[in-house]
Amino acid sequence: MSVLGRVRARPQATAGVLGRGRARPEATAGVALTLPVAVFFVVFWLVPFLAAIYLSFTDYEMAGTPNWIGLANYERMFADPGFLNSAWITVVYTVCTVVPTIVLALLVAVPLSRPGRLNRGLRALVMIPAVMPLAATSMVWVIIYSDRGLANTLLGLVGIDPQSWLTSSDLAIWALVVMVVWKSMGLFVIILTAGLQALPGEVYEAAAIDGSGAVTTFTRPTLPLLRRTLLFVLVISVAGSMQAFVPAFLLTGGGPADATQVLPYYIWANAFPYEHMGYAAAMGMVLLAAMVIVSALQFGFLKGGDE
Amino acid sequence: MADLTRRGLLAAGALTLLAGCGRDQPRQQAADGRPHGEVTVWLHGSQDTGQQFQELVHRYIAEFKVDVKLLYLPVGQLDAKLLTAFSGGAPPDVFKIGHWSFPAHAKKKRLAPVDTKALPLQNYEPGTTTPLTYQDVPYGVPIDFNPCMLYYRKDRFEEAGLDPDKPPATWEEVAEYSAKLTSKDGRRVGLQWLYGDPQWALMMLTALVQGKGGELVTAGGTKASLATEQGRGALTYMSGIGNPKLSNPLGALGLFYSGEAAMVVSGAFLGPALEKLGKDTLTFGEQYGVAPMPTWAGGPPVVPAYTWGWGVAEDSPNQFTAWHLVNYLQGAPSVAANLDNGIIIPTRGWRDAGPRGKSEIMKIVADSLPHVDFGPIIPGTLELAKAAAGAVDSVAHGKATPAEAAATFDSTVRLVL
Repeated sequence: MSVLGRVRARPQATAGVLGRGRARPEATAGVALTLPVAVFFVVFWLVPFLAAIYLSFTDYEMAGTPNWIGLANYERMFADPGFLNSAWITVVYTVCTVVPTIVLALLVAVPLSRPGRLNRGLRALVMIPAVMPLAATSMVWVIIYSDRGLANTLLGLVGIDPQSWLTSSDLAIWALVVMVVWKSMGLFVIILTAGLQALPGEVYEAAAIDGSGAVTTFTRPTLPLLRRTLLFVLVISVAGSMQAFVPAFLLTGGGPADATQVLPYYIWANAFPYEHMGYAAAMGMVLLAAMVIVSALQFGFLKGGDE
Repeated sequence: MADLTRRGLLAAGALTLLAGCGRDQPRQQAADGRPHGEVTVWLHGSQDTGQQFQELVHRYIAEFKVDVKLLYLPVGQLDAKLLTAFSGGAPPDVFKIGHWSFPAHAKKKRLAPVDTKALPLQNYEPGTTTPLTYQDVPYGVPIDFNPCMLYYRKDRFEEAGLDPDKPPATWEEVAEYSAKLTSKDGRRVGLQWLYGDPQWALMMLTALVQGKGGELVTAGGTKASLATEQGRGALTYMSGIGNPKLSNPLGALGLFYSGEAAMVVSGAFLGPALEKLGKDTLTFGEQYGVAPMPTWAGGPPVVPAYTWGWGVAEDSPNQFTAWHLVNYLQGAPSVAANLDNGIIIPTRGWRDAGPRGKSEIMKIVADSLPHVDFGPIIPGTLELAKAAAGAVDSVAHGKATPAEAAATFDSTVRLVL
């Protein structure tokens, strides 16, 4: 009997030896062991999620009883300049953090994916920002962006006047983008490096025999073969950016002139300081729907061509 | 059977534990007019008055045998923690919050009205409890009461060829002086607004709009009305003064201290704070002076103001004692100690509580009391202030015209009124 055959035969033999009386305790044990996780999932994920859907149709303001108001919260969004501004800022922020992060991560990952002690060391180095706590990183960047901080010192070296990085409505969003790209890139470098190292070597041997140059090798076999890894990186990167709250909260407080007021920040402001929990829940649902749609589009765009 | 008994015991224990988590104490109202029991107090700390406050609390504990539990919180976290406590049904008995938070909490029935048997309101200067009153019911008493005034740098005035003993009295003069005090690169300015700060933006707009006969929200708090001649004029005026891109770890007050800003609008607390920041380099009467809040030429005086206030939770089981404690904490020793640090508790005769009461800054405060304006006292004050900051900042940063910013303000505020 082949190995596969033996493996397949085992459940039958087990059932025959142990009998039905033993299956029930095993099932009970299985239920008992999964129950805590299931309860956790229901209590801390499912119930809050369903409650949030319900609250999005109410006028709940952290006091009293929620009153059903139908679609009023959803209609309110389209008349709310704050929501429209935040939604736009989120789009800009997402595009401007995701694209450079992935492009730079890929450019760094290609050389770093080659074997060698130096590359192992460099891979560890690029990972450092990713493992630093975001709150601590944000504080460091506040200092970097201060009037006499590192950013302006470097500009001064090349004869450029100091800039008001976090207090200029034109620059603040870009200041956030630079920090987030720096912070996120390391993790994506590691993921892409792993993806690159898993690619079949024969393809590259064939490409070399065909006389393919570095650029052609990168665009033809590498990128298409890396499609699944890129999809993963893209989905988590976009989802992360669309949910980003901490950088805006800690670096700029959504300002100046609401220039960095991303949607998660606006949702938080409505939910807690203003206590419009129903309205915040509705905005949360819209953000969730947008994330689902964007993720589905990414899957559709990058899924094809596996064969 | 033994298993069942064990399970039953465990279940009973768990239920007891859960029941213990709740807070269902009977209300300990003082029928005898004497405080007793336990009171929890949440407040943000102050290095200057903290020790005196602690001593006062210990005296209260010793005198009335009441167990007072203090919890100091960073000022930026107090509102969020308080909201969590209210939502969880376990708020502290006493707390110190900004006047802008009182209407929303009062509307949601989280606040207990002032118990005048424990705390006589007639001890306070007329009008000073108004910002803590909602729908004619007083819900708190003021501490750190701050009518605004103009601080100006005499040394900067001299540099610019202006008379250091003649600060601007009107908004027109402020603009004129600011033009002379602003450097070509904009790194040194005349008057600097407190950009990005909602409450200060609301106060400045209040002064400028109401000083010209306009209003931010119509009487009764039903309609936003910045898209008026007065509103657009105020935004235009503000955008022509100051530099929103200047930054300092201490904000506009730090810019004033450094001399980058020659003028700033602030409260009475700033004088003592400046003396502590730079005792050898920035002295009242030498490097800087104060002046009453400017008015429009020929216009009525409008003095924007803010205050912190003590409140008591509606859910407090010990409201009488809570108000009794607040009354004690607002007594003469506190008034004197706070006054020394530029913090005003506006009980009657507060200026006589200490030598600083006779200072020029405190005279300006006293003279401005009849004209103080706390802006609209409505539950949506936080959103109103945020919208005000949005309007001021967007015009200052050139992101919107005054007309556009005023229209956005009205659209935003309309949703919360």
